[in-house]
Amino acid sequence: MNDDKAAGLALASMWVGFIAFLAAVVLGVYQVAERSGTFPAIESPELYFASVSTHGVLMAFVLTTFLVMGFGYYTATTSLGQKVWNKPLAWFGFWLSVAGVLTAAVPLLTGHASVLYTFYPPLKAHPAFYIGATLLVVGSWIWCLEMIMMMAVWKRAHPGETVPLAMYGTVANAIMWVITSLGVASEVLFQLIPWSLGLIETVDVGLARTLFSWTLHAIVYFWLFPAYIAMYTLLPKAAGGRLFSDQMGRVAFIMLLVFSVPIGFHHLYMDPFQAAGWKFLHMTGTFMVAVPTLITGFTIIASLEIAGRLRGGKGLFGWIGALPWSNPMVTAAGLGFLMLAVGGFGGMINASYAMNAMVHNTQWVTGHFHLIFGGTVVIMYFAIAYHLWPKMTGRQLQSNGMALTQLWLWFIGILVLTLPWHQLGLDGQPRRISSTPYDASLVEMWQPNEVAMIVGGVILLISALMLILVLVKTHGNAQAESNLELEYAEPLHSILRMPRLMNGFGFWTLLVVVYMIASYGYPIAQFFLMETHGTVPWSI
Amino acid sequence: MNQLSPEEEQKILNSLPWGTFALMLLISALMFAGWAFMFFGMFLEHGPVN
Repeated sequence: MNDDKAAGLALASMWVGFIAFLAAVVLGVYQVAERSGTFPAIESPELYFASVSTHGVLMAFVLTTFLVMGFGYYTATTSLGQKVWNKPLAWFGFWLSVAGVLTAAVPLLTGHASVLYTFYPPLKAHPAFYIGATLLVVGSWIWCLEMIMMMAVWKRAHPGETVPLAMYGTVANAIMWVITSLGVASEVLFQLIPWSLGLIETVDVGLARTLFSWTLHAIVYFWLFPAYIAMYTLLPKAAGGRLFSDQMGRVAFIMLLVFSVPIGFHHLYMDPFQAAGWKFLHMTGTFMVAVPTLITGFTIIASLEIAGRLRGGKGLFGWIGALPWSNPMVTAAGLGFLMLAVGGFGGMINASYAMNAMVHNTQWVTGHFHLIFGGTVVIMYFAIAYHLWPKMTGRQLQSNGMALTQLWLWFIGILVLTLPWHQLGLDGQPRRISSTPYDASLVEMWQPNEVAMIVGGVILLISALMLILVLVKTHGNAQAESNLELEYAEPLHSILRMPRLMNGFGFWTLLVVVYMIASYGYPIAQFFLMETHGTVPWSI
Repeated sequence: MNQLSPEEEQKILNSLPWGTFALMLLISALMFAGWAFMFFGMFLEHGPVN
């Protein structure tokens, strides 16, 4: 194991993430089975909501944060060719995050934090849940500092040179995460922790929800960034081609940084404490953030087209069949794009101000974010693991065939799980329910989709077990990996000189701050300016 | 891997990604059609709130 590449730190982080992932999948299967009403023996609202909360925390906060950190450390060291900046601090951040997870796990597993992994009062969790979450976020901020410092040190040592695209995307994600996590951090520190400790009697729910919305959408892009970075910088090489455009990647990363944070009000369309004009402004931004995804889709597919044609593919679509589908990275990206297209369509419905009323608080929303996150994001996490494990462990991947089967099973399982889930929402089933004590004809109509979801959940569990098996067995594989270098994709046109704006983040960070003040300044200030009918907006 | 001459390889690298254009057009059309179906076929069908 080459320690200069931070393989130990990256492996430790990713293993924490994947262990959390496996536990979360087990809980997920229980949840679809419990909610369906097919198995009365396992029905328990208390257990269900504790399970949902734990499942959400493990998937959305633990898997993602640790995967982002692990991938980031490995990307930074390999793309820049330098050691981790202040390695003891990096390990401290890792252990602080682990301590945060363990602290939050106690109330979660004992049913004292069944708040659906959200930070929405009046749902109130045990203080340990909020303190644990805070430690996890602070640990992730240390990672952000590490990434920013590593890029700064590299730029000082390489004046005038272009920051490698993988690192550019990683730092864009780090800066975005610092900015977006400030919303929920403020809510937790100044509202939820004092409230849960009994230091204050009540909190302003409107302010809390507004602050959480600050974090709530951009966090999705925090999860998605590694997937996009892998698509831009690893996939074209794995497919045997070139990256169609390095600059397009930078534009996409910059747009994600600028547009993903100040748009959170599409989570508040039905909430009464923000005016329609602000919601419209945020809706416009929400549609803008689709642009970097379209840029990414175009650039990556064009890169794959180059690879397919170099491999002998002819005709308008003949290059698709010529791609090396036996490579897990290629297969995962192809399946990930299919799920992104379907999930993106659902996202457009959610973001449409009027139409949102049709799907608001229904199972459509849960189906949507499972398709985007469980589909596109997580399948690319698998691809990253399969791609990096041989480099990090020095052992060949245990079974390429099993890895491919695992990816296909995950794709099938996600579709079998989430398409009926969307339909349930259109058929009127509310989300955040543990059972369906509704009109008998409605429940009868829902039943086939509920059963399909159980099948989907079981397929996903089998796939998750296969992933862990492949990764564990790779550590013990007797066959040594011959190529330990992580090879990044070459752009189609070599870069002679990158404009300063596309080689740094000073201007873009300032722009996000201005945009944030414009879109969140008054909506937050109003809680301090208007009569709050006895609630305290802030605890200090 | 297909064996290409340097000229053939250069030609591929310099050509426009027509397949990608076609795919993106197809996906965009499907997205627009899907959105229109949801808006006109499902959302407006609900009628006004009573």
